[in-house]
Amino acid sequence: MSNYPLNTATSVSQASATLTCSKAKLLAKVAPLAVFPVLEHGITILWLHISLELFVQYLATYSYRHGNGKERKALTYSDLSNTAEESETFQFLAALYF
Amino acid sequence: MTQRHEQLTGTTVGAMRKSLLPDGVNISKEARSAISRAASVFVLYATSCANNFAMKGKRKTLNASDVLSAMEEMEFQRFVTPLKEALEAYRREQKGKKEASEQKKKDKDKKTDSEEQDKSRDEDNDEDEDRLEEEEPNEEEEVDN
Repeated sequence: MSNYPLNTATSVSQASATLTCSKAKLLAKVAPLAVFPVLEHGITILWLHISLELFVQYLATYSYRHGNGKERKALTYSDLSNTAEESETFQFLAALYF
Repeated sequence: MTQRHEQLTGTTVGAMRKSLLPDGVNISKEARSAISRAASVFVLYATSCANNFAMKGKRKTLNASDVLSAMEEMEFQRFVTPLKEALEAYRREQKGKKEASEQKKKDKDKKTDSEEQDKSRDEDNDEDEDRLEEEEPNEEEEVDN
């Protein structure tokens, strides 16, 4: 697997700073938290936030590097749909783009 | 629904454009929307995976190891190290806050105790003074006699 730079310097305080109350509520709505109502000391929402940031970074950089958009210096929809189709890791997104 | 997806990733996409993609690279509107929808799917998938691990352990509460196991299951092993670091940092932060709050409570209790001691000392002094005042007139009577 190639090396894709991830912003691993995302410290807890930085993540907490961008994790606003409204975003936490939104995450709680999107995630099926009704299934597991008890949070371990608030770690779960923080974890979701951090892993989501890492995922978005990875998806975007992978798609840009493997896509055709870099010829035009742009990340496009087709770059993302190609990623979902060709990469096993991102296969779970295939239904979203086709 | 679209607005909700975009709210999830709005800040991240903007910050990422500056730090991770080469200079001058644009992210099209459709790409932003696609990333946002992908983010929602990721959250559902990740929490569902983590929940499966919790259920295997006969727990209703998600814990850190469920989260890390889910990332490995989803083939996002690259996320495991930064998540571990973040969780450790979070636990240290919580421990520090707890110790600071306990110390503050101890200091407050100590202050309250010393204030009470001062108060009771003052009351004792007042009682002594009252006793002395009561005794003096008797001495005067004796002198007169």
